[in-house]
Amino acid sequence: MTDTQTDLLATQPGATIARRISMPLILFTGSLFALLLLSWTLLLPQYTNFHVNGDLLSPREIAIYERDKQQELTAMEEKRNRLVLPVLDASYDRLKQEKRNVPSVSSIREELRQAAIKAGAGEGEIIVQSMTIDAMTRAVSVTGDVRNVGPRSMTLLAEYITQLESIPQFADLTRPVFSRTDDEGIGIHSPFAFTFTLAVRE
Amino acid sequence: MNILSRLRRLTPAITLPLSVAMLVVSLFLVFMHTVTVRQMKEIGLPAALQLPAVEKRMEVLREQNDVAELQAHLRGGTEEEMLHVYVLPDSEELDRLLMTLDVLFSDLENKKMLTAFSPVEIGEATPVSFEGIADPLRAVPVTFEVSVTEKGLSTMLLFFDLSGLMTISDVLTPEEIQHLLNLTEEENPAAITALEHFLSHDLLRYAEEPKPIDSQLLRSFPSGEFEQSFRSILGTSRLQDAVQLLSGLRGTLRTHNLWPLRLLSLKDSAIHVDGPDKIRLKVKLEAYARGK
Repeated sequence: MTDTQTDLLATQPGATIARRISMPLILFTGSLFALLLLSWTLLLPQYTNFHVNGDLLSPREIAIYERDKQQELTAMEEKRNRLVLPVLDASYDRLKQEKRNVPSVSSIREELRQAAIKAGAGEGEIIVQSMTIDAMTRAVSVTGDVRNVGPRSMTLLAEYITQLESIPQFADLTRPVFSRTDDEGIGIHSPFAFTFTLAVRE
Repeated sequence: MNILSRLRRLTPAITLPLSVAMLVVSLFLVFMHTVTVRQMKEIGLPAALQLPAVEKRMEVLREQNDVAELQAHLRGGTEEEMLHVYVLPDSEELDRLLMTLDVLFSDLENKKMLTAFSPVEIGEATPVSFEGIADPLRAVPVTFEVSVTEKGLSTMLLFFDLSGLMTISDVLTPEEIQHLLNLTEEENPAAITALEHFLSHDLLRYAEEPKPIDSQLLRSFPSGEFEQSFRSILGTSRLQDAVQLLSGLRGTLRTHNLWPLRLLSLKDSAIHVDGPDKIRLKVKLEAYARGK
């Protein structure tokens, strides 16, 4: 380093450093910028764009194109279904739908029977005496009796209720009063009454 | 060299901000490269992979729509007429409704499934409305009580469940129909007319002789796969129960000209078990009619 340069560095260090790095910096940033610009305009589209029916589509464009095609497909499918299953009458179609939504008495009885089996009850041990169903509110009321199991009647009733509570279709089940009475005719038994609401199937 | 000598002439006051600007733009370009590559990986590639299947399915649906459109033009209006006269009539048609219940009770009595029934109470018709349905409708409440066996109970409930349903497609659920349509698309798209014919077949006629109607559809699908899936769908659907019930009642329904049945909807039901195989069932049904 010459004396003049040393002096200059000592007196104006910022200006000297700036002058020294300005050239390599502009060369580096210029090259970087040029390479990236070339890649952005020429190279990247080659690897990220898609040829669809003669058009070159970017990833976002092809996603939009695919979404439009899916919508078109759904419309075509709906049209096909309308042609295959023509709606004879809008009211009739709606009433059929309403009928499908009416709770099935047979399936509710079957669920109650299955819950009794899962609770470990034998034949004639959990008896459903009555069941009322309001189709409008989907509310179900059940009364019955646990008998022929001796002092175990309340435990069996509790297990039965637990099984019923685990059925997703039976919502808001109100637990019965757990009691045990001794009747001359039927022996030790636990009468029950509970209500639940049938969940609407998705 | 020319550019270099020109650059050398520029003062740091110009080159430094220019360098910083190019660096910022370069960083932005690097970021945009990352975004584009990520978009290609996450959005573009999955969409591009989906496209051939979507386009192939569109081609199949286009073909099916053309055939189905042609078939729709050839279809008669008999079903609409039956619907307006019997299923959802313009008047209350109480005599036909009572005869239907009478025939049902008699049939169950003959089969020892019903031991007693109360008088049938018919209330005043009340207007009902459903969202999106402009046509006025009336509901006639029908209440009665019966003493039945377990089998009688399930038969009676199934009868109400099937009342008003005219064709095979009415008995199948939308999911079951969709499954059949999907199978047709996969196996033989041109067989859509055969499926359409099958679905629009009269339910009572199907209950009388299901085999020839099934065979007619299956002839359009030579592979055994369709038949296997078809049997599995029908086996778990309500169609089997419908065939069983209607095949036993078909003679009576035809004799009294009660087919198609009036559309009835079960509103309230109460079951009381009086003893082994002795059930009291109290029901409130609604029979629908058009008009105010």
